[in-house]
Amino acid sequence: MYDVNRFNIKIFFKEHYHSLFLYATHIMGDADRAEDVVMDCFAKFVEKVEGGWLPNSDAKRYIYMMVRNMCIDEMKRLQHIVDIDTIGDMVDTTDDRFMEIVEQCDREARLWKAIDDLPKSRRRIFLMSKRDGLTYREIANRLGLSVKTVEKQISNAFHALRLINGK
Amino acid sequence: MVNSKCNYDKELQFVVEHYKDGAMNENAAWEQLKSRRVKSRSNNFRKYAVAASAVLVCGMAVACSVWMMEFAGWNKKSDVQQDSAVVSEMVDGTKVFHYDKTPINIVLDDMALYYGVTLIASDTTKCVSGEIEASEVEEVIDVLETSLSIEICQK
Repeated sequence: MYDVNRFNIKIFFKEHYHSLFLYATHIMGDADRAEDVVMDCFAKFVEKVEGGWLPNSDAKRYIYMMVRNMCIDEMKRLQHIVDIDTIGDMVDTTDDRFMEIVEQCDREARLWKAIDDLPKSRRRIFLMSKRDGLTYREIANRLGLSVKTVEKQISNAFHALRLINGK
Repeated sequence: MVNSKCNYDKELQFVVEHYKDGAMNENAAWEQLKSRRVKSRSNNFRKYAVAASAVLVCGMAVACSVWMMEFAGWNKKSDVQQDSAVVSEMVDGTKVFHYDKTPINIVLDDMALYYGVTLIASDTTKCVSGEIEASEVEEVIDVLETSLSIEICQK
């Protein structure tokens, strides 16, 4: 997939950054820390490439493993108790499971981007409902909208998100 | 399909829970990565600079400690010379005392030690530098009296 001579770190980064970010968030349970880990891993990865290392078709797996290991190290460093039931599945490195994880993270990354792409007010209403757990009426009251409008906005948001992953 | 729907809901819930505005802008992240690399390079440079200066400091420390040791050694040597004479004995039994700014009292103590006589100087502020070659204590007294312009009496 990656022609060594054509390996472009910028394209590679943009292609996998979101998925890796979500992968790290799964393991660490914290988006900010996950972001730091992913950036650190990419910085090391780039250093390796600049140092003459030629990424092959396994580059994707390689960077996932880097992120995985650094997440685990970071958790140990922070003395977080790792809940194996929650993350055990996400740090599984068998080939089949790895492919599933990557696909899942790719899907989640697309969802994230789809939320990003929602019109601002629709995104706000959607997050107030799904993330903050407010009822349609509470949202309507806070924003001075009718419940009907809130319903419509959320319905549209769900529709847009379903289209993303073909559901 | 049910399973897939369930996964979708779980995945959506996960994304929504961690969602932050503008957190996953790959262009901004790429710029950040580039600046981080520049920073890490300058950090590397700083590391090298720190390492180099550490080496320099170590080198200086070693040089300094060698110098200190030499200094201490010199002091010690000088102390030794001040405390007691470096004495060498020639084949014919003539003793040679080596002194370097040694107070006269210490020199006289040495004489007491080597010749078994107690000597007292009229002026105890004088110091002795150089070699005194003598086979008898009288010769030493002569040399000291003459060179230091003092009087030494034997008890």
